[in-house]
Amino acid sequence: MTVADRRPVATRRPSPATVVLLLVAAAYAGWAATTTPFTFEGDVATAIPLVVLAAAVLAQWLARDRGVPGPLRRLDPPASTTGAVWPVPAALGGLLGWELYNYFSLPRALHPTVSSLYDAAAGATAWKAVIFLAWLALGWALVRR
Amino acid sequence: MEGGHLPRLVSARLGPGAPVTRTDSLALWAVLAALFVAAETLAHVRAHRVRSIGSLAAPLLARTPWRIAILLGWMWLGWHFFAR
Repeated sequence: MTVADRRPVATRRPSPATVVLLLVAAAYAGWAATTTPFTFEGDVATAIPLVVLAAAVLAQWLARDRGVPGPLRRLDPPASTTGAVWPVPAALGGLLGWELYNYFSLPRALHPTVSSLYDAAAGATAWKAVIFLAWLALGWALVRR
Repeated sequence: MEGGHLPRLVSARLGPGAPVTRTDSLALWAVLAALFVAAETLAHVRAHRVRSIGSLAAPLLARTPWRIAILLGWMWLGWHFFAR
């Protein structure tokens, strides 16, 4: 092991742009959490990130044809391609298997699915905001790769 | 059978098991979620030992059909939870 290997993983401080982006996303998630599904406001709050992400992906696709990285793409080195492959897929497989078992089992109160767990959590606006922010972060991570 | 004594061919242990409770289900959800978080954390702390979900998804996201499918999945997830 070299000295570089012993360094902490994340020693970089977030840039001001990252902090601003995070605050804007948190504020947006806070507002979106106050909307109700099956309403115009709920549709708009969800549709705006969908449109933004679709536009970014389209711009990346067009940029690729010109041989440039495209907007929002990460330029840092790719993630490690060594190490055990099975732990994360095994954990995901366990979650998926349990979801399917619960989905096909009734009553729902005894066999909660992700959707029913979300419904219970989304009753509190703060939890819904956290989940919405996590969804935005996932979309951001996807579009950056 | 003489004497009227029937042998007990089936053990009482083979009857229906204890019913699953909501607490059981939630506990398993918590355990599975914790395993996933632990695996992903390990992948970030010891990147050379365990592959993260990001490094596993990278080859898929590099291919346009998979990239579109994964992004559509993200869109469906948001629409399902927050709009419908």
